[in-house]
Amino acid sequence: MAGITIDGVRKVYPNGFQAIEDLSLNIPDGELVVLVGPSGCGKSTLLRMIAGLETISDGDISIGGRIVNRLEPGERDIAMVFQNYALYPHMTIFDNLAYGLRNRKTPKAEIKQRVEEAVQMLGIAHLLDRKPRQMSGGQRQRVAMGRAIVREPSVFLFDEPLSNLDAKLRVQMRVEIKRLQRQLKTTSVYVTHDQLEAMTLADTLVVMNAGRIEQAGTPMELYSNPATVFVATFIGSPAMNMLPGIVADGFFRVEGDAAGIQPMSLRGVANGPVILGVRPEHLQVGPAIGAGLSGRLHVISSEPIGAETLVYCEGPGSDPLILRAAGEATHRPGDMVDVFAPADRLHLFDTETGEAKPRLTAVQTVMATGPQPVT
Amino acid sequence: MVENRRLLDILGHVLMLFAVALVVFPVWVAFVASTQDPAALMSGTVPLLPGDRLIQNYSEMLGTGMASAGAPPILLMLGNSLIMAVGIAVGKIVISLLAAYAIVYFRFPFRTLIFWTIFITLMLPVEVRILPTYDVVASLGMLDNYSGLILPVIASATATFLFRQFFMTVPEELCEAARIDGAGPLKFFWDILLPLSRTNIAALFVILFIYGWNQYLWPLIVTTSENLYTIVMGIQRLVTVADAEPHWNLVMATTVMAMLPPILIIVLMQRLFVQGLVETEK
Repeated sequence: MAGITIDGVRKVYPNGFQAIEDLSLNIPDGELVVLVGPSGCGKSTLLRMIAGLETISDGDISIGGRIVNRLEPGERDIAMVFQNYALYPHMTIFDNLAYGLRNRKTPKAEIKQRVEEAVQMLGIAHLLDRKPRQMSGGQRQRVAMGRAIVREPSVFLFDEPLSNLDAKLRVQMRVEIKRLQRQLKTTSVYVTHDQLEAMTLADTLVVMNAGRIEQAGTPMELYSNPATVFVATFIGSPAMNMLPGIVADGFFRVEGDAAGIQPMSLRGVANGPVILGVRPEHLQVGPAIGAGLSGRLHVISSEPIGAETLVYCEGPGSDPLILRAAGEATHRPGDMVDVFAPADRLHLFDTETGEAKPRLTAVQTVMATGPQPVT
Repeated sequence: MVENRRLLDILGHVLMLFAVALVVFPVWVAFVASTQDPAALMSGTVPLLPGDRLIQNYSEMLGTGMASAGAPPILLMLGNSLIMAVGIAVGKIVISLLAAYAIVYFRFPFRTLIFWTIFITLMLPVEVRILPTYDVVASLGMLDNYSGLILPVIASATATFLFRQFFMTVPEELCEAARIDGAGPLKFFWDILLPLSRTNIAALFVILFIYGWNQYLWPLIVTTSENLYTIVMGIQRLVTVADAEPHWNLVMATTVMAMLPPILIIVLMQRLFVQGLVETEK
């Protein structure tokens, strides 16, 4: 009973900069929503507006059906985990965890019990008497989580909580956060710029750009059906290959020098410029099997990273075309490779708006490598 | 090489001992003079070894004072100085903490202007504004009492500036975390900002205590009653006796005793400094 409703919210700074423009989002109770986007996209501002640390220029934010626009952060029944943990340096861990409860006049015995439960849950029970500076980054992170947990709030807010940790700890804490959130079933909003973190944590993933929501959905929805060029290139690493081209006379041709990419038969798409997107993992080395995009490309370099090898090929534009090959692949610079991506793995975007067009079916591209039809 | 090194060591130590002697010598002369009888200091040569009137000189000044010079007993003046110095140090710290807190953590119109106005008062020493200040104090009826000694010098631009600089290094998230934890502005100040400023407060207390203790011109102007004389102006009164040689032995005894409280404060508070330096709390 504590979902978050964001209705037509705007944030305009006194200097006229519009950080958030007319944003609406509904976060159901118990869900973990991840806000992701490049820096300056407004994701942190939105989180801080939910927390009450930034004023709302227009629109309403309600938590559990109660409009909180004018409430102090302390009255919103939320807890927040900060990037730099923001633990009180002069207090012991126990006091750090208990501070919020004491301010709410919670009885002493209950504070003790709740703090003990939280430290048990996080495995930091032996650290209760320490001060923050006597602990490692990972331990501080746990304390920061603990401070959120003891309050038993109706909403958790996370502001890039893992970005100060090293890679290994980050993965470990990511799993932990997910586990805790599942266990406590508390509605959570999590801000990050790390798309891997975003994909693995989110129940609902919200991609933001320039103060707007580009797309919201499950991580796999966003991965499989990106609504815009921005989402397509933001989700997935390495990013989706983008091929600007033109549809004419039932064919898709790459713009300018084709660099070995074959024209592709394409029916049912209006003539004009389009952008064709294909993910590196869907671009296979080998001859064309059925309908789809095919070509013969010049290898520029290859990066073996163990489980797979990233092969960079000369593309039509200035950007190389990247494809994911098996780990043992031995493509050398200068080699020519046949590549193929099946039709149902291709994405078409409008050149002007960047919006996705309906996904292609095999029937539309059945003449993939055949001779051009007579018109 | 080893021989050379030794020579250098000796030379260095000699130099340092000389420098120490240079600093300590006047203090030693003052102490020696405070133990002599008056005649020994009139002879023209300054004695360099302590005399036999140590206890006599000090007890005379502590107990009865020097009526001929219009100076009350030293104990009274030491007490006045202590009240004034502590009042000034504590007052300055309290006021500048609050002022800096307002300037750093609250958004209000002309915030920057107000800060710079405070800052600019640094350029005006007490002497420059002494006449208008006297006028204000006189019209408020604060002449010849402790509030008149303390209140006019209680605002400190330096301390405000230092606390402001310190507050600005405190991460903003700390304030935000406290707000989310349900702490209002006063609670945040009391529970978090004040404990974090502890070492800064200690350092400033030492500096401001000595500043207050050494106040000379202002107490001289604002007090006329002997009961309110402070030790530093008391020394001056002892020297300017009419139609007689000043009793240098007694003046020096007073001087040595005037030195002791500041030294005591430094020695005691130094432990807090070191503690503060070892435990970096941020």
